[in-house]
Amino acid sequence: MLAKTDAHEIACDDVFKVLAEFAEMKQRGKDVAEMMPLVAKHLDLCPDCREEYEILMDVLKLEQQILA
Amino acid sequence: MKSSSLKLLPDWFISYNKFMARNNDTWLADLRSQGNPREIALSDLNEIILRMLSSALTRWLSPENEHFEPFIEDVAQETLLRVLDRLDTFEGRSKFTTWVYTIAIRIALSELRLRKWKEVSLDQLEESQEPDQAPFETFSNNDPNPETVIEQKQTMMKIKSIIDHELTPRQRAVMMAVNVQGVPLDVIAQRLGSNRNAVYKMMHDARVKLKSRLELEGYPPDELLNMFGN
Repeated sequence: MLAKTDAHEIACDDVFKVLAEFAEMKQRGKDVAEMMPLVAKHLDLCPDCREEYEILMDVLKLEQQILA
Repeated sequence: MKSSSLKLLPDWFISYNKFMARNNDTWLADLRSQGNPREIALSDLNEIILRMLSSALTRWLSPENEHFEPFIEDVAQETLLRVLDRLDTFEGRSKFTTWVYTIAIRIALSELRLRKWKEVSLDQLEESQEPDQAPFETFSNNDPNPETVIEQKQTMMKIKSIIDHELTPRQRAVMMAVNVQGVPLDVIAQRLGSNRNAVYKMMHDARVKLKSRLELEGYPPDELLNMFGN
């Protein structure tokens, strides 16, 4: 995790604001690490935010099944 | 027996209609309206949250658990209140329902984490760790070459001394708790009377300090990937 450490990182509140957008982009198959690198990096480093993101992705998959 | 809205959840077809009935604009318009459209929108949103959370949280809480339904219902209610309170902050950069899920998931997980770790104080976490060993065990391997083993041991000692000198006792305790013992940031934040954002920043400051010092000492960060067990 030290190797991934940068002087400039965004914290949990900023990630929360764009998490819905990030998850939808990921679900559409976009290269989110390229498009929103600071968010991707935060999710790599913050276990709490990553866990919530993973649950959100599960929910979006379920929603897709309902809408299919 | 308590009647549960989860038991009355619609089948897939009805859920489908709930999802498709509105787009972002109509969700906002209905929730901002007075009277019937607002009540219907709130009831639909409540149903959607219950349905999604009850599927998504089974990893955390078994649906067989007697607390499962009341918990999900409480989270849904809390989510609706927060959504109404923050309606003006929704920027339309995602589907409205996805934005609502982020709020519901955060409320649910924050509560579940605190429940799971409620018996453990930060003091206990600090006492229970073994700073001389825990984070450094990951460096050991089965290399039969005694010189390599000695070299690794020296590196470990050096890194330990840098950690001890560079980080404040609180930074050290938080880094150990999170990265070695897997304590959630939410739990640390609650114990410190702080919030997750501030705890993340504290850990970030510690990582930056540690990294720059270790690089100065000639330890490239790639070699330190396993430090703190991560």
